[in-house]
Amino acid sequence: MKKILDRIMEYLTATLMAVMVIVASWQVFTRFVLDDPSTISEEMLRYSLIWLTMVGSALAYSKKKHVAIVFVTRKFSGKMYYVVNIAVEIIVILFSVFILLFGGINALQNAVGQVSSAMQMPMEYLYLSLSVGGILFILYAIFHIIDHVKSMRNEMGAETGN
Amino acid sequence: GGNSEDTNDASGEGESSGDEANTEESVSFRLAHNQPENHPIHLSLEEFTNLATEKSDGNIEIQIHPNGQLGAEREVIESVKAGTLEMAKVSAGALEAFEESYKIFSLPYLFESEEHYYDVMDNSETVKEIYNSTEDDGFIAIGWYTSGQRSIYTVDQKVETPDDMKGLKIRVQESPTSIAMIEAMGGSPTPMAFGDVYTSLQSGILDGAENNENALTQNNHGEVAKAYSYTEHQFVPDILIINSNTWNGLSDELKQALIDAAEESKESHKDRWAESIEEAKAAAEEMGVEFFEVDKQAFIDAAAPLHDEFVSESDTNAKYFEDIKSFAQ
Amino acid sequence: MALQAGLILLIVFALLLILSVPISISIVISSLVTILIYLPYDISIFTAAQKLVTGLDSFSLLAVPFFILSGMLMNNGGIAERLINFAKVLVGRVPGSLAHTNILASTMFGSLSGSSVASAAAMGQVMLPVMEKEGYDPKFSAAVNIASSPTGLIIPPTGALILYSLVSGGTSIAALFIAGYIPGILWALACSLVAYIVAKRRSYPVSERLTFKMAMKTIVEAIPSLLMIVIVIGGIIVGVFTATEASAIAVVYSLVLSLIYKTVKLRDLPKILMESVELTTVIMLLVAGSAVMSWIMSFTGIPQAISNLIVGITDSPILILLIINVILLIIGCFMDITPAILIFTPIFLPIVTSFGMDPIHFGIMLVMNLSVGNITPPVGSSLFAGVSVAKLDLEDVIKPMIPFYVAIIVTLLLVTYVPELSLFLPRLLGY
Ligand code: NA
Ligand code: NA
Repeated sequence: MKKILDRIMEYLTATLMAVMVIVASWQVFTRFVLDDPSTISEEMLRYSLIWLTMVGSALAYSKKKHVAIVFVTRKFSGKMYYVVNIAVEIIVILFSVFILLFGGINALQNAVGQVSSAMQMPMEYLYLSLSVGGILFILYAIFHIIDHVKSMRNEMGAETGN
Repeated sequence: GGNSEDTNDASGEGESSGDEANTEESVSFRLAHNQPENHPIHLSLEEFTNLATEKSDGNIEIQIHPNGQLGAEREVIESVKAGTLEMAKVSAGALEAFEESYKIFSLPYLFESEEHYYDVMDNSETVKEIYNSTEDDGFIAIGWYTSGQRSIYTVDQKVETPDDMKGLKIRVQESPTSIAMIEAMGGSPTPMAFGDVYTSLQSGILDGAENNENALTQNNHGEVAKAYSYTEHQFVPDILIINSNTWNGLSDELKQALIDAAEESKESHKDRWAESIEEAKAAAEEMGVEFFEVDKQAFIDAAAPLHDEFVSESDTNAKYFEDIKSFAQ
Repeated sequence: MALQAGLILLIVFALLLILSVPISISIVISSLVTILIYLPYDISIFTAAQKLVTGLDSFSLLAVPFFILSGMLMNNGGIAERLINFAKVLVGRVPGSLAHTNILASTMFGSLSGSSVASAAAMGQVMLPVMEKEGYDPKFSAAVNIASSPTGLIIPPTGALILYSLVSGGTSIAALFIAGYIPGILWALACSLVAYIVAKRRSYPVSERLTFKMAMKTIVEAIPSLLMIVIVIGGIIVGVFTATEASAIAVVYSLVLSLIYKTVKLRDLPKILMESVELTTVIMLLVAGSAVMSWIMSFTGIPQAISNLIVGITDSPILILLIINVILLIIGCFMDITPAILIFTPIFLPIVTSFGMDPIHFGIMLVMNLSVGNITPPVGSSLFAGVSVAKLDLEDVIKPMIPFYVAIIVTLLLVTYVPELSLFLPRLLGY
């Protein structure tokens, strides 16, 4: 389940990244070679980066790539280790629910009726990235908790079985 | 009781002081804008806040956050809508994304002269209607400040007619109106972040940009762009906005205090602005910038189709447009 | 208000960090908690969410993913090896030649990839075994490799300076890039000086003289890689593209080069793209989170309060710069360069500009200072990369690192107090 989600997100974000390189090169080409500057590419690139960040950072969270200061918690062992790790996941879920999801919905509602400057795109589509990122973060945090609980059981089970 | 006329400590909120002179609830606002502290608009906004305090007998306190500290224009409008901030000073151009009617101010050659522009902004029903058009969206406008006229400036070529604009890459703000305007005037519109304009003029990515004379000095564009041609294609006002709920929660006296303060500071801003433009022009000439008069009629003719298009879009547009034109002599 | 807000922000942030919550998320949560004191719940979460989006809404930020991607393409390509061979031709006859080769190659590689971690890993992988074979102490070799790796953070193109440009309110990226050359090269020279003294004392060998033909062949092989510097920086100066667009051109160029060298195949591309998405979004979430934090700081007046505090201690620019440097060096020990730039630029920049320091000069000083943090314990990404590629323990390299720390900090002070080192080149080119 997590693997399938990872896979889909990987291909989506990698494609978006490749498209961004092409659009940026296109922008230089239209101005420098065609002498007819593209008028929407800049906005398209900025908004792509925002979507890439919201979705991609959830993916990076799935792979535990976000920078954290671990030299304190690294010292914990046994049950304490898992308690702290699960607590961190819960904090991440709170962040995702209240800021990305609820805050994102607020920002989306506030943007109703507003359009982007160049593409005249409804701004809701931009703020939607927050809620989508939030849901992904929540899913991944739940997957992590399940993993932690499983390995905690295994470890504790192994100890009592000894 | 007249014993507390000289209250130095305005911060005695928590304490119970039943015999205060003021029966009014006092309020404290934040006002955001994106210019530096030495810009004429900042000085005029300071005047506005001082006047508001004075006219409300100290019941209104407004703290200014300059320099885009609390966000770019689009962000602060969103914040005023949501209620994070009570007030902001933004360009009419930035309000276009929130309310279509503001587009009218971006129409090139809408105003025929500075007198026409001031007259419309101060006295027309259209402007009052536009001010209130966003009430249900969460904010209204209570005043305006001039930010002068916008003209074309280039690295070295003067622009006297639309033909001179052929092939020139002119930086524009990222909006369909601005893009259509530069196209109509004969140039190649190039949307670009404002911060990149200086180096792009310098390295030749851009041939020019369009703005008021202050950009030559405040943003140092005069170091790299030496020809300022008075196309005077736009007068885009700055608009003072306030959150709807904040506004509706105020007593009539406080509302009047704010409106009067805005009106008075707006008037002295006109002189302050004229002075700053004189200074900017002198400083730009020191930098080696030359100023050129242009064949304005040719540009006005070139922009005419944009007016027709705007008028044909809706009845409201047509009504506003006609009203504004009726002020021209 | 500022003091209370600052205290709450700091305490919640520190608690979350100690718990090992990701830094970006800690930044946002501690900011939200602080906002909640001043604004109602629904406005607070709206503001946090809004700033996460608008904090990323800047065209110049696009240079970050693009330079990361081009760096990835180069790491996978045969570019590192060609640069090392080229460096050997240039400094092979100086005492401690392999150490200097490492430093010079690291500087060139860093100037292309802009990543000190990549530089420590790529150079270490190739150079450390060779150095050991020729009798260099592995601990010293690792120290040389680590100490010289951050030069790429200062010499352009570099994401650190792009971020600084953004948070400093639009300081010209092109000017910052050009300003980074001399301080970056000084950093490399400082490392070389230490290496020279150690090598002399321990009589490390010099490399064999290369035949002229071999030397020419090595140089010719390195030209396409070095050409990228010319294309990227030249294109910006001549006006083909902006500094931001140059980053996309760098991707295209390094892709073409790697395909020609056959070190990257088309079917490797998805994986390279995915890896760069990960790295990019980790940095971007930090950028977004910092926008939330710097908003609440402005809202409550924290930068002004800190500024008053420092200016209250002394009004001598020399002492203020010293205080700022010491604070930043301490912060750099614990915090990564990206969040540190984002958080501390808005606090310190107004102080130094108030006594007339050029924002370009301050940017170089700031980035250089925080780059030191990359190679200091307890948190230092290049230090970790350099130690693991050398297969040593952290404790092993600290002692041989000390002379390098001293030399680099002396260089930092030079760059701090001699503005011309940063400003000469940009002024020369008219910025
Ligand atoms: Na670099
Ligand atoms: Na460190």
